[in-house]
This record gives sequence, structure tokens and C-alpha cells, in this order.
Amino acid sequence: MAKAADPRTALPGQRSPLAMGAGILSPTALRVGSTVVLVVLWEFFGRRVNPILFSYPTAILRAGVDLTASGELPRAILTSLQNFVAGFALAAVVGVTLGLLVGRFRLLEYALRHILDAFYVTPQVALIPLVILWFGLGPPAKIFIIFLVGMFPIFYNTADGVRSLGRGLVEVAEAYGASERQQFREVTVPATLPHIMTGVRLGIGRSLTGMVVAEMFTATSGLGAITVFYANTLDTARLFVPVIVLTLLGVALLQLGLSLERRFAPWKETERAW
Amino acid sequence: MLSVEAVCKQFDGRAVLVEFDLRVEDGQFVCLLGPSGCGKTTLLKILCGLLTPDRGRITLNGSPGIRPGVDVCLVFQHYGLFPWLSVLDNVAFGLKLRGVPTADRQRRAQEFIALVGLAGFEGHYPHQISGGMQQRAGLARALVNAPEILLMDEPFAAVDALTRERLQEQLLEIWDRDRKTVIFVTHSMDEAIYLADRVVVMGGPPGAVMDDVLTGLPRPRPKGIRGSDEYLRLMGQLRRRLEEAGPGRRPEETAHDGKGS
Repeated sequence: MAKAADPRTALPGQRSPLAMGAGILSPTALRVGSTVVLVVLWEFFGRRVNPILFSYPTAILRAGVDLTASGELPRAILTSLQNFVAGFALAAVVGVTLGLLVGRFRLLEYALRHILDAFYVTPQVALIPLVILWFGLGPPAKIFIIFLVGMFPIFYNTADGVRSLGRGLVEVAEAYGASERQQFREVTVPATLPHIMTGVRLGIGRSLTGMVVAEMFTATSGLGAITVFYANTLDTARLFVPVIVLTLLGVALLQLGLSLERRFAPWKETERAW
Repeated sequence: MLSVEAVCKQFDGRAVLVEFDLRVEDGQFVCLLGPSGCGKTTLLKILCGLLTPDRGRITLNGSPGIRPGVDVCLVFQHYGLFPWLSVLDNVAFGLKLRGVPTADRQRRAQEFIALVGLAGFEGHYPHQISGGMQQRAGLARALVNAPEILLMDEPFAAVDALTRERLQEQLLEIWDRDRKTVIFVTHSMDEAIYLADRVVVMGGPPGAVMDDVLTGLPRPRPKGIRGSDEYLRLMGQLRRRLEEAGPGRRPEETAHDGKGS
């Protein structure tokens, strides 16, 4: 009975009541349907609220068109993305390198791990005022923050990935005559790739948050800055525009992270014994 | 000739090999048969350079410098293929380590992939092929280096019984081409008798040679050899030896309880 209720295992002609709905509506149709219901409810109830406190989809859409036409929104997206790409690339390079080194060399781990731990548990956004003192209000400060918050998950996942690596595959390389250096390059690094990609995916989310916080704090440019500006001018419909853009950006980057993971580590699901 | 003389190895004060001696003639197919933990895997790991003996001497044709991956190649129980490499790149792995140019090593790898019957699967990744196919790729990865001695550590223990018999037949066909030395570790009496010229029964720990039998069975193995009187007589002899050797356990019963020693 429980088995037949699962639409994937239900045999044709042997439909349980639960499986019936799934047969008529595809998952995509259900997703679209629930989104439409949510937007309609938002529109209906949003209109009844004071526009300073809340807004609703059609008003936000109008605000979005205005901001796009004036060039303000495209400019902000471009600035944000430029900073994000620069900061996150830096985070990936430094995080992976540091992670591989600390994972590999015990001495480095003993020397550095607790310091990095201390940095990690410190809410790094607390350092933003200091970073602004160092770098000013321009892009370098934001790039640095994006780098700082994104680097840690990449570093930790890489280092733990190296350390959790079983002897098995390294032993195979050794039995085929691989030098220490070859064992590292030919086995340790590729075997750690799934962990690195997990770190990258987590880092993307954190960097995006770091970017917005930094932009709000400096309030000079980028999506975070327009959010603050329209909040201060009580133009709530326009405030929602960059927020929604950020949501879409987050979803897109998450998908990118997942597809990178599948691309570079397709064996991950099936091969954990080693 | 491979010569193991007075080799000792202990782990945390537990002696696994004590004054262990073994000589293997060139071109001999030797099976090391013994219960779990008797030190046969330890011996293989010493032979391929993964472990260093505490004492003793190992020489190949009189010289002590055995080069792993060149003179000896090991085929692993759990295949040990690299999941991020295609079958082709897995097989070419040893050649790559030694700096053989890409085109050359791919051509040679291809040759051995065809030899083990995996032509057409060069581009597949290990998780896309069956266990039996993975172990054939593992065999090709060893053979492509043209080692003097092929070491095999319970290579067919992880596949089903029918696949195991097919792999055994294929291994003998391939071996018959140039009859290089093979040292094959197994739990299974049947596998040892079917494959080997010589079965060395080990007991322990610490590992010791309990019996050393030349099977003298015809090659190539005729169909139905497993039912012949001589085959059954050998089975009986090995069974008695193993019962004396092991700590009360017969090897067939322990065939799936772990990785040996």
C-alpha cells in the first residue's frame, strides 16, 4: 500500500488515490501553479496595506520598468556583478590553495588552523567599518568583503576534503610508483574536487550576502545601495526591485554552483567507499 | 626469480610475518591461499613497495631494487580505479606517471583495453561500468606497464560467482600469451587450484607456509576440470591443510568478512 502511494513505483492501472493527482499534473505545472497563487494573493492583500510599509507585484513591476529605463538598475546590477565576480574569484583561488596546503601539511595546520577558526567565528561583517577605513567607499572595499566571507567555506571544505581522503586511492598511486608530488597532483587534488565544489556552492551564498551588506554599509553603488536609498525615501515599491533582482541572482548562482558540481564531480554520488 | 628471505613485519607489536621465506620461479603462476589475517596481503604490500619490511631481504633476479609500477604491478581487491578518470586514462595512469607522451600512452592503453575485452568502453567512467568490467580495467592498468611480476590481491572477491569464473578464464587466457610471473592472493581453494601452477598455503598469524603444492593440472584448463578426480583430490588436500592452518575457520566461510590482513 505504502509502495503504491509513491507515484514513481505505482504500476499503470494500479493507481492509488495519492498518485492520481501527480499523474494529471506534472511537477512543473504544480510549481508554476503555486507561484501564481502566491503572486495573486500578494497582489490582493498587498494593495490593502499602506504603500510605505509594503508593496505589491504590479507596483513593483512598474517601479522596475522605471528603474530600468532610467538606467539606474542596469548600472547597479553591473557594478554589483563586477565586484562579486572579482571578490569571489579571489575567494576561490585563495580558499582552494589555502585549503589544499593546510589539508596536506600538518605543520601548516597546527600553525594556521586556530587563527583561521578565530576569523571564521568572528562575524566578518563586523570588520566592514575597518575595511572601509583601509580601502575607502569604492569597489576595493566591497571586493575585499566578498572575498573574505566567501573564502572560508571554500577553505574549510577543501581542507576537510583533503583530510577525509582515505588511504585507498593514494595507495593505488603509490603502488604504481607515484612520487609524493604526483600522489598529490594526480590523486589528492582531483579526489578533493567534490568537496571543493561544495565549498564553492556554499561560498556563493555567503559572498552574495556579504556583497549586499557591504553595499548597504557604503551606500555608494550597487544593488544594496539602491535598497537603502529607497528605504530612506520611503519608496517601498522601488525598494523591492533590487531585492527581487538579488533573489533571482541568488537562484541563478546556486544553479550555476550545482551544475559546476555535477560537471566536475559526476562520480560523487556513487563513489564514497574510497 | 623472486626471492623473499627472512622477512619480518609487525604492526603495533603484533607480528604478522616472522622470518618468512618464499621463492618464485620466473613464469610461475602462484596462488597464496590462507585465512584472513595470515599475512598474505601484508606480503603483497611489501612486494609492491607499499610497506617496508622491518627486517629481511627481497630480491628480483638477484637485485634488491624492485620498482613499483615497473617491475611489479598490483591489482587491487576493490579495483582501485580513479573515479575521475575514464577507463582509458585509468589504464594509462602508470605510463603517465613515467612521462610517456599522451598519444603514445593512449595507443598502448587502447591495446590492453582491447586485450581485456573492454574495447568501446574507453570513454566510460568507473561508476558507469559493472564490477567485473572495472576489475578488467584494473587488470589492463597493471598489464600495460609490462611488469615482471603481476601481483593480485583477491581481485575477484568482490564480484558474483559467475562473473568470477569468467574473469578467471579470461585471466588465464591473457596469462597464457606471455606467461609472466603472477602472485595471486585468494581465500578460495577452488580459485587457487583452477588458476595456479603452485599453491602456497599460508597459516598464521604470524604468516608461515603450511604447504606448497604443485598442481600439475593441464593447461589450458579443459572444460569440466573442476569435476575431475585430480581436482577434487587437490581440494581435499588443501582443505585439510587449511583446517590445520587457520584459527579454526575455514577460508570459504570468511571469504566476505573483510580485506585480509
